[in-house]
Amino acid sequence: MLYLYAISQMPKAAPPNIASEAIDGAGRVEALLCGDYLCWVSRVSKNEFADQLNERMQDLEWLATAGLRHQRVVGELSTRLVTLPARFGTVFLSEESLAQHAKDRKRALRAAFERVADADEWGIKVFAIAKPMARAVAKDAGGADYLKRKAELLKPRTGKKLDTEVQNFITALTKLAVAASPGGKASAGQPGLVWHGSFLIRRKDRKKLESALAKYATSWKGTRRIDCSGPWPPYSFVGEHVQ
Amino acid sequence: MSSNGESITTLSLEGEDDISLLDILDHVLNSGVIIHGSIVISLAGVDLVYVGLNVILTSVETALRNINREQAGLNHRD
Repeated sequence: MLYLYAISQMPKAAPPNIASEAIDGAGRVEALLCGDYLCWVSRVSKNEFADQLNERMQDLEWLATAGLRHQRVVGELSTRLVTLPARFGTVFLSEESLAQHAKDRKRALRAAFERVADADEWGIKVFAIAKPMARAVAKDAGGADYLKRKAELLKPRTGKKLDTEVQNFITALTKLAVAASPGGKASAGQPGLVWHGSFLIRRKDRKKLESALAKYATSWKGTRRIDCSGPWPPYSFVGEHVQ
Repeated sequence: MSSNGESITTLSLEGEDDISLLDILDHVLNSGVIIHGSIVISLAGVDLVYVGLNVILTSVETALRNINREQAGLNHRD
């Protein structure tokens, strides 16, 4: 079986060799010519990646290893070629079936390539900085009350309505981005998380992103913290074009 | 990109050291090109992962609270 990492545009020179480990830690990442594009795959066992995939996905240790391997391959590809990351866990029975599916979606793939060209995904998280416990929880509070209020401080704040400053921050980043996407569910439970999302930013606009983050980080000092990760392959900005 | 005091933390993927598993799963599992067809055997498992992760995160928070509660009890007895 073939595990699909990504689809890339055809390079002018020979396809690069990918040094990153394959998804199963054993195979080799290779390029298959699929119409006008290259599909990046490795050979995997049907047992692990089809029959037992659902069970494996619930095993955090397996998922962490496989997720990291998937990211490393796609990340390496993205630094060399314009790349559309495949959804994690996409497998095909044969080269012919993969090539046929890629050919059938040629127009949608072209639109997705145009969208992500010269752009990277950036992950942004806003956290509330917890007040010192001594001030946040009254000293004379009883034991049960103290624990209740302390627990309240640890709760994620994603369900609450965003305040105007955070809304303005999101608007500012959205204006300089090609597109924006809500954050993934894995981080949603992080304590203190106020908001998270991803932005597709043209590489020429990276300085503008840095300036916007610095401006808000300065004005929020002591009250909110911004986490920024990237550049990521454009995972969050390719799906809707190719369904 | 640079960091700015205590209010902004920038995590570069080049080193990967500071990128958490949650960040990787957020991006890797969140989406990606979906090529539909009978040949694609499994995509549905992803939502199960989210349930599992949320349960684990909740468990971690609960465990932390229990530890805090136990410590508070010990301090109270002291």
